[in-house]
Amino acid sequence: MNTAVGKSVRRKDAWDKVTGKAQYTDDLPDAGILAARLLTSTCAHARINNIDVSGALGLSGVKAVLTGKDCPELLGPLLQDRPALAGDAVRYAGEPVALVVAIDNPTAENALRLIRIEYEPLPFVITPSQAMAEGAPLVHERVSEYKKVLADIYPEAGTNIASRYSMRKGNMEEAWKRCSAIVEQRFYLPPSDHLAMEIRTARAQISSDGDVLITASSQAPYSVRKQLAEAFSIPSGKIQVRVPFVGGGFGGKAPVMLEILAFLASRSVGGKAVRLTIPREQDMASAPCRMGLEAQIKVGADENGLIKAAELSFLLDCGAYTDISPYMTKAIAMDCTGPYHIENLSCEAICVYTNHTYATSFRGFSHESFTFCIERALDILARRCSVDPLEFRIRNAIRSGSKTPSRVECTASLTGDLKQCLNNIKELSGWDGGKAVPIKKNTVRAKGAACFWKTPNPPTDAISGAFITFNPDGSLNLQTGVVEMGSNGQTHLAQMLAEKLKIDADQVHVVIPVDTKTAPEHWKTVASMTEYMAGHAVMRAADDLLNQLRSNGAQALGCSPDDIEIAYSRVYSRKNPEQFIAFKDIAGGYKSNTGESVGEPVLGRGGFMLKGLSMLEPQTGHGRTGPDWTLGAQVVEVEADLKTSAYRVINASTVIDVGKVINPEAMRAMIAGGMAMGISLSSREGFAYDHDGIPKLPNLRTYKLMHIGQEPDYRVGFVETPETRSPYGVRGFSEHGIIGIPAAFGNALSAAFGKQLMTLPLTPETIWRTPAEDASDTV
Amino acid sequence: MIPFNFAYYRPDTLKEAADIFSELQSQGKSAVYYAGGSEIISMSRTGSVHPDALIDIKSIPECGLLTVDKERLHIGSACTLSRIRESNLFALLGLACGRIADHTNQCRITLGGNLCGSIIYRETSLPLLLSDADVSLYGPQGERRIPFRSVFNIRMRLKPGEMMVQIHVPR
Repeated sequence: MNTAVGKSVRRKDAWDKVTGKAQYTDDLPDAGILAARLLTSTCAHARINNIDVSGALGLSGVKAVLTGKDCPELLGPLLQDRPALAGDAVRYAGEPVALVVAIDNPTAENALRLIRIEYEPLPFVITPSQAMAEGAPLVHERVSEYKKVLADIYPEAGTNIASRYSMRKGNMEEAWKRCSAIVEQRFYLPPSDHLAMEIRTARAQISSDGDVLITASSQAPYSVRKQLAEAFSIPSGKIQVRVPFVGGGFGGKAPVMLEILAFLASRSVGGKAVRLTIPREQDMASAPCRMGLEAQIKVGADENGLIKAAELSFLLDCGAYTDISPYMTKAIAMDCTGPYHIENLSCEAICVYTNHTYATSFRGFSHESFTFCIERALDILARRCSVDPLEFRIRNAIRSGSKTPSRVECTASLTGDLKQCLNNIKELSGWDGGKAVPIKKNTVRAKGAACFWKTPNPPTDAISGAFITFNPDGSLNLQTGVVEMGSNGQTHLAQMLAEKLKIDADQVHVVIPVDTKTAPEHWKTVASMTEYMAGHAVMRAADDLLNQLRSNGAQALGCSPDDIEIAYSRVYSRKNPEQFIAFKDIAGGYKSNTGESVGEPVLGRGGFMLKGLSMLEPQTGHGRTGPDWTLGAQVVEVEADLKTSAYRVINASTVIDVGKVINPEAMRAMIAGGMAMGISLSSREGFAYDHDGIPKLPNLRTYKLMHIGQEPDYRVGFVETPETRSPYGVRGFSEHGIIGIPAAFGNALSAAFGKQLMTLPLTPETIWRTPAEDASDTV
Repeated sequence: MIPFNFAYYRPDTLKEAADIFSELQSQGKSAVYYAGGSEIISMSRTGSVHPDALIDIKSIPECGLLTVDKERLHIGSACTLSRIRESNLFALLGLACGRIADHTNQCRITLGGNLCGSIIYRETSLPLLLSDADVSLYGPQGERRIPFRSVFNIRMRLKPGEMMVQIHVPR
């Protein structure tokens, strides 16, 4: 019988959050803390000829003004190409140029306005294809001289190419000959933003003996420690990073940015505590955003509707600095076809610098973008083959024995069961063939389908850990380095531990804030890997704990450790279960009736390092970046007004193979949240740029998100094909609700309006401007 | 963050409000009437406006009125969009109010702000034009009540220091 796994256990952070008592970084008291503010570039690309800070320094209350001269160090998790403050040149509008430290925020803000910068505008590039063109202006002149942090980053000298990944499989020439239908399409998707409800913020102070304390809204406290230590040659033991509650991350808080600036600010004022909270406008224009993407997709199928070949080219717009984008490019290559059996493949994924705000991981790690392109093309291909688009996907679904693009052989455990997901979503969504259905004059309804899959792309040696201690009442404390930013990871880990110990989940307390000095390192809270990586660490810590309890129990009960059973917060001998000792009496060691002490205090610990992953072979892409895949199917239904091009989303459905449902309600909510984000993204979000390459009005007055009240009905179904090497068989699921939604949404709207929609966001205006369907792209 | 200081006034009568405006004007200071504040706050954050003073009209009883008599529906300029919509007194206007921004903002944005602000849509104007509504205005030269259409042409054509007090919609 399950005690904890499979139950809708209430989130450990629920009460604090719903009552508003949860403390986020910027809620911490700020009495006596200095304030820092950023001045950012007004040019997309320019040389900085001079910065005059004398006016700002002269303002009463200003403590320090920093510019690029004060911080020559270059930063980056993969390729060190980014200064904390621009040096000789700015490479995007919004790039931090100067930092003012003052007694309070208004003083700092006023000081910013007294800084004079002389820019000499340089030619700029805004789209990846512009950046790839012959003779394009270079965003970085000496890209090949930057230090690589990881080996598989391949900048190309004299170009805007930051890295490139290829996949080659089968024989393309032969394959095209067998195709009776071929679809070729181009796509352009603009950058957009994460827009976590909590804006980015960081605090720093340096003690008299050089101990650095950073408090930040971050998904990656251990990366903050690592990057600070390396960039400024500080022993990492002298750096402490604390993360309280995080109000949403979505990948946008995985990069290290404000933490470095806050450190520099504190260092410039003798280590005094400094708080750097950027306004929403800078959170959008200056801090890293979601990548843009250009793609060219060519797919072909034979007369049976079986996909025979795919030739795919992706240009990822990484903006002015790489951050994690080369790995997002690699992730595109890894999963480029979607979850389909395709034997002949040629894929080129290139990470391209532009003069946009630099990009970073966004929920789904680039999958929502390339999935839009491939799934839109496949939908057209299915219709060309006169096959129901959902049936077409079932026919081509990846299965045991198929090879992934990087030639990993599929098993049920490795990828899960796509056919089951597709069959289940027929019923869940009321699938009707994906054709426009008239419901009244000028109004139709239509459904669109898409599949998704994703494997993580961590460093091959990423680690996690867990500590478990007992309280005197026999309950336990679980401590990990997992940041709780909404995905419920800590509660799921508590459930997994409780299940292992056969106790209720409310007997497990979690330590929600992360402190790098006390919590064991967890790589980053990204890539939906909490339940896998930290889950393994928790299982090992639980085994360690159980062994110690057995040892104590055997000594206290006078039997062999092999006879000891542990369940329901009790330790007992299998041979005599009536005689038992409660956790509270044995977890700290045991005292017999005569006062004799027996055993030792019980302290569980577990560590886990990823195993069996590889870098991709550069020419063919052969290799494996993640332990497993999570896949699923999604359907969106829209109601469209053919006269005005307006529409509304009626419902959105997901069936996902999660391996094992740990917490039905919480997992359902995460998937629904992903669908909501996907609908918002594909219906209204995107950065627009003016002729000078400046983002237009980056603020929430004009950049609209979907709001409560505008949401459709969300339907979620689970399939449970266990991942045999994962605790309880669970797969990553936190990001995945978003991945196929833009594609399903695009497919639904294309069917409804009878137009082939190839971009995002799909506003009524975009739809209206798109000409009615023609067949000219058929080869 | 609004990085500058400003004076905040909360008059209780129309006359007091207009007097404050005139007084500030004579001192060479810029003043704006303030109701919901969504526009003033967001534009002040970005530095597009920096008034020396805000004159909050929410304490002026006439501006907060929402009532029906035998002939007309009277709506104060400081009534929020959500209050107008939830009152169900004028269906088309309620529909317009319910489509502006989002629910949270509808609880802040006022009828006066939607009509007199700088954001171009002014969604509430159409129902008022269609219903031959009157508008009463108050400024340093006193009160006037005129057809809404005579003062609204793409935007409100108010005199300096004049504010919108009420809309009067025939039943």
